[in-house]
Amino acid sequence: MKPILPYIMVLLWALGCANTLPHQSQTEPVLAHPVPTIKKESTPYETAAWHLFRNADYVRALRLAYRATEIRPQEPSAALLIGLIYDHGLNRPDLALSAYNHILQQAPHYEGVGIIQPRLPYLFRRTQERVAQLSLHQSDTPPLQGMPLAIFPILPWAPNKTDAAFTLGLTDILLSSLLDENSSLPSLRTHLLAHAFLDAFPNANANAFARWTGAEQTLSGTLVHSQNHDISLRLELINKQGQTLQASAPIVGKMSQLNLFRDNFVHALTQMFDQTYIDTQLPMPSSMALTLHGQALDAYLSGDALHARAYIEAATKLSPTTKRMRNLNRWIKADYTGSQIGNDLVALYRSLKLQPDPDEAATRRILATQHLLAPSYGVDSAQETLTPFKPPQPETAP
Amino acid sequence: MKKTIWIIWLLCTSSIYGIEKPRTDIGSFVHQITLERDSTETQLTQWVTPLSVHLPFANGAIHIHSAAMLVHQDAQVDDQVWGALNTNLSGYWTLGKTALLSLNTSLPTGKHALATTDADLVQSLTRNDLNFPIKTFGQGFDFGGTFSLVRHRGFWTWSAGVGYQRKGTYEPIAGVTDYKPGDEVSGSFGFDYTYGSFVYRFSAAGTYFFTDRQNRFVVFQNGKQILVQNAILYTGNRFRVKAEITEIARLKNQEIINGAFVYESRDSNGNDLRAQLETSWTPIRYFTIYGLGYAKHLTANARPAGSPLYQGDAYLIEGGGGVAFTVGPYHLNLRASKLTGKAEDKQVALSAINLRCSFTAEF
Repeated sequence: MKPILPYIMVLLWALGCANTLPHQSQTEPVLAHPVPTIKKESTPYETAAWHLFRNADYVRALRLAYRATEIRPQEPSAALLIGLIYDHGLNRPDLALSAYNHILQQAPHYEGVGIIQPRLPYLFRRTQERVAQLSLHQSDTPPLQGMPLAIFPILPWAPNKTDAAFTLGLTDILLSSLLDENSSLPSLRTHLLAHAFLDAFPNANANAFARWTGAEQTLSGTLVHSQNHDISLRLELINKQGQTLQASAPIVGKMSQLNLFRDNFVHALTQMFDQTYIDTQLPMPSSMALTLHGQALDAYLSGDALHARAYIEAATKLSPTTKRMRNLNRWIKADYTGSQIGNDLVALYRSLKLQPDPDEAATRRILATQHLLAPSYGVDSAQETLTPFKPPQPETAP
Repeated sequence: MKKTIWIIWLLCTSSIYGIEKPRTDIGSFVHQITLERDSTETQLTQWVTPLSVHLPFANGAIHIHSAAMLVHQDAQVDDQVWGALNTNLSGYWTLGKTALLSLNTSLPTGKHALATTDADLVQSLTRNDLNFPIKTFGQGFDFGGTFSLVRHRGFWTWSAGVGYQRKGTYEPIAGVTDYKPGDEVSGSFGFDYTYGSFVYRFSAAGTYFFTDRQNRFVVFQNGKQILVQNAILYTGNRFRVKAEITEIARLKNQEIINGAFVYESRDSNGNDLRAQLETSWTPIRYFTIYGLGYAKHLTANARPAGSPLYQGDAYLIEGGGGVAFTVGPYHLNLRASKLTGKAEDKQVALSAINLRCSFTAEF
């Protein structure tokens, strides 16, 4: 006799009558009324993607993770896995940032949000760093084309590390507000562009930077620091062809009297621009604080958040009221925290995958309680009732 | 009456969404047990044909079931009794994502006022050591409800609830009129710890029984009951397992002795320990194979042999399994299990079979 079961199965399949009935299996895995049920979820794809990710097969992992999100677009865990693959596997902070932001927008109450969020400042800085690097090596389009103003760090006339840090601090404290107020360009981006540019071409000047970025105007300057601690700064405004449009008269001052220097500096700026947005009432940090601020910024732009944190903490102690310094301190701390939680995100994903779906777990649990409290009859299950029957007294009277 | 019809109509025509569909279950099951004492065999058979209707609606469902039952005794003197069972109507409503309210009622459509000879036979069903699925044709008009709350955080899911059952009067045996079992109030709490595909479950419940009354006079009170349950559940994509241990402890009953309502001098309620293992495997989506194992151990109570309340040491072991098919909106379940054990201080050998066939149609 020929086995007929395969034929019956094929027939049922052909009739399209196969179906799933999840009604009771949602609450109890094993059933009083067992019906054929296959757990429907994205886990096969997501589990496979996770497995591939752990085996460093990132491209295939990514493909399966995207497939999982297609099946359950509302499920944030697959999006988190995509973020992890970009973040830890493919070294694409820009795409990881996008994946994490997607989770924050789609599932703001997702349990992992508290850990994802601190990662973002770090990824944002790395994204901007990547954009700068790409602009330098690949892009045919000037990176700041159409922007009204770019800043190139004021450079010391006789290069040395201390003066370079001081001038970078000066640039950040006094000029960054020009960017934030006058253009849509965040100062971090122009700092990173300049940093990448100087990294690639250490001897380049502001004119070359202006030609490369394509911004309408680029502001920069040169600082002369004499042995008796007099300083003289000459500001330059350069057009996108790299030609100097304006140059200020030397702004002179003493390292020990930076408040006076600041007033002269602002005066020079107001002559170059219609108006400036530098708050002249803010106390000017000391030269030591500016130098530490510059060192912190340089370390931060180099991705060394650990040293950046040490420098900026020292600078903030010296000049606690400087708003820009406090902001940089906050960025660096956020960046440092974000750089440290990479493995936490992997652990978070692993932990979240082990946690149940909240709605499903709550339903399962509450029905278990209801099952204990409601009377049981045994009619539906054809099995003995949960608790012993209590016969009426006349039947049981001794 | 008009209002009730209106409510039922409203619930039935509510927008039915979610995963459940209305369905009807029909089927039949047989529980046949053979007691062998000193080479004398007594065979008791319970044949039940249930019918149930399940109507889901927005945020809840209504479930109605009833059945007809035949009880047959094959012994030196054959006897049988048959009739309808009470009709049970229950419904639950989820209140947000954290609360559940359920209401239930038992309508006295079942056979009542059993003749004394029938009562002797039906009384066998109530024995805890024989594992009959249905213990009675039904009692009076009962109604009640439960209210449960749940909270979920991470791996943990906690719940707690209370329930109350109002018991109606009925006539258990011809001539014993106006008998009202005590109302029941229950409380329960528990938690699930879910780790991946595994769930560890702990549940506890306590029930207090009010006094039974006959013609408004207090005659009896069941002892308080405590139930503790531990379970481990595994839910894979196709394979599922549930292992559960339940301990049921009942405290002393109260009864009238020499005109005084006091705790019984001999505890009628032995200890009840049960263990259950269920597995199911769904190799293809329209076919499931499942297996079950069950064990129960009852300790002897303090009543002497011969007393209607006597219960000796007993144990039961059950093993079985079944298959379930799905063809479109139709589901067929077939199940068979075999029980063996000893009862009445191991003086009586038990063997039983339990067969079940049910058919479900979705709409």
